[in-house]
Amino acid sequence: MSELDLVRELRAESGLPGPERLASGRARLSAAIAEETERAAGSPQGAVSLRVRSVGGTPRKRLTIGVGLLATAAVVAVLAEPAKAPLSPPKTRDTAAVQLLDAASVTVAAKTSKEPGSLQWIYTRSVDREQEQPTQAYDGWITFDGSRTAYLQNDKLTVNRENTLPAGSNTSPLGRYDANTTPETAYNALASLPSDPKALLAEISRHVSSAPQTGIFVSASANESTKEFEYLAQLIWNAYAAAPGTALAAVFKTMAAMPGITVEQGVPDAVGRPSVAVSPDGGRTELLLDPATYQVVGLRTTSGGVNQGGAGPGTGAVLYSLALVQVTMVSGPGRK
Amino acid sequence: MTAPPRNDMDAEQDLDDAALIERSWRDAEVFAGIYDRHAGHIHRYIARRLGPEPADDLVAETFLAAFRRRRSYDPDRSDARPWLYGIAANLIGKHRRAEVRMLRALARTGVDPVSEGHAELAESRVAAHSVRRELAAALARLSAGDRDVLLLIAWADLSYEETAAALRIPVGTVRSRLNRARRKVRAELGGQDPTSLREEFSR
Repeated sequence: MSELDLVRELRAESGLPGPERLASGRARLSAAIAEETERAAGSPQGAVSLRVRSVGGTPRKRLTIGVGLLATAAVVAVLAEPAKAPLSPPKTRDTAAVQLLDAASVTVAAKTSKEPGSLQWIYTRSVDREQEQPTQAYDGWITFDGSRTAYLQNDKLTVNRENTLPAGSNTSPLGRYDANTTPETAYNALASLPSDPKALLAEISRHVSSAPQTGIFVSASANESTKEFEYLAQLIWNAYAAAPGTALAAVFKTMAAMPGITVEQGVPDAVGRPSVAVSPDGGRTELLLDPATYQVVGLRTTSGGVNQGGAGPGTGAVLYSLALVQVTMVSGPGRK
Repeated sequence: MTAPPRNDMDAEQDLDDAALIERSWRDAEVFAGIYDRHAGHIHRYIARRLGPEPADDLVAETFLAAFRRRRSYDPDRSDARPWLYGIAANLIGKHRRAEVRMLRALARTGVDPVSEGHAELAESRVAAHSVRRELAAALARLSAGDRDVLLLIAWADLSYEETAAALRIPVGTVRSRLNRARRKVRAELGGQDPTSLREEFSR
């Protein structure tokens, strides 16, 4: 063996990376390509100026993570009413968004997530930032089926039994999830969705427009497309404990096909981590994803809005930002 | 987003890198095809030098830089790999201290921070395994330029001409840097494996 052969042997075990390793690089390149293409094409049509008024009476439903009820509600509540002019989505689909969401669907499809047992305890740490409020971190525990929750207060652990609401006459997985949002019902709801994006969107659309609005926390004046996006964003958020990879992939593909969907890189989440923000409404409602794994890491609402003169999503103030910092399967409440 | 005409799409697969890059001067989206063709190999090379996590980032940086400079690509070079490896080598050079630190760690401890977590080395690599530490020490001591030449040839499988194109140096310089690097490695290994060295001397 020559010394060149010996050098060849060193670290020779590194194989070619799988597609999921290369997905984020591909997405970044796609974004750069799209940016250049847009610059070359000139500014997009339909710049809308958004006038924001705060509405005092709109109730805000909050994620009460402190008592371990992370799974019971995922909230994106808009503090301000949108402008009088209706938001018009861009006429052409944002290629960067489509390509990123395609890359995301490939990445998440490759991950197999085993469904945990009903009484599996799950620890979550989340951070909550609201405009003009101090940042708050919450540690919470919940069983997969949501029947027990726990939280720490002043170093004291409190464990609760939760009353699971009866599903009533609606026995569909989406209905059960709406009635009683737990990691398990979220998992099952996702698993029940069709894998074809068109069929998935049709089912969600039907569900959102027909279901009573209580229990579904979406912006009151959002257009249909935004409501559907928000419903899906909340669903995959609520499936933070476990989600079938193929179902997540289908959700991302569905989002990719939504009119007006945009992505923005480098958006800081509530703890400052750079994330990919997916938005149906030019940056007002945002689903934040990990740039490498495309796991859901946060939800964010800003007062910004629409493409303004081609500059991209408006840089409005962050009204509310929620970050999922840690999710761990643990052997019991109080453990991390 | 309008799809290109059907026969145009099929033809892309048959285009060499130069033709694809030339096409991307007009139609930027076509450049993604260069990523699809070469990102895997570039990633593996960077990961082998710096580890898998830095590689994720640097492979993206490599192709972003390539995209931005695609208009200066020489269309006479049908294979884009030397161009891409050259950009990658430049980015790796910015992490020189980290690379040397990891090689020294391997030399000192026998544990490789880069390939930790890989499956056990195959039996056939036992001979190489036993001189890993001396090899790592030797690589750490090479100048950056000599190390680049040695590893582009040993790990990226580039030829002398391709290495010269990648690093934008004359082919003669590539040969002399490679010889210097090999001599230094040989010296570091000392008399560890007389048989192989004797084979080398008798060539």
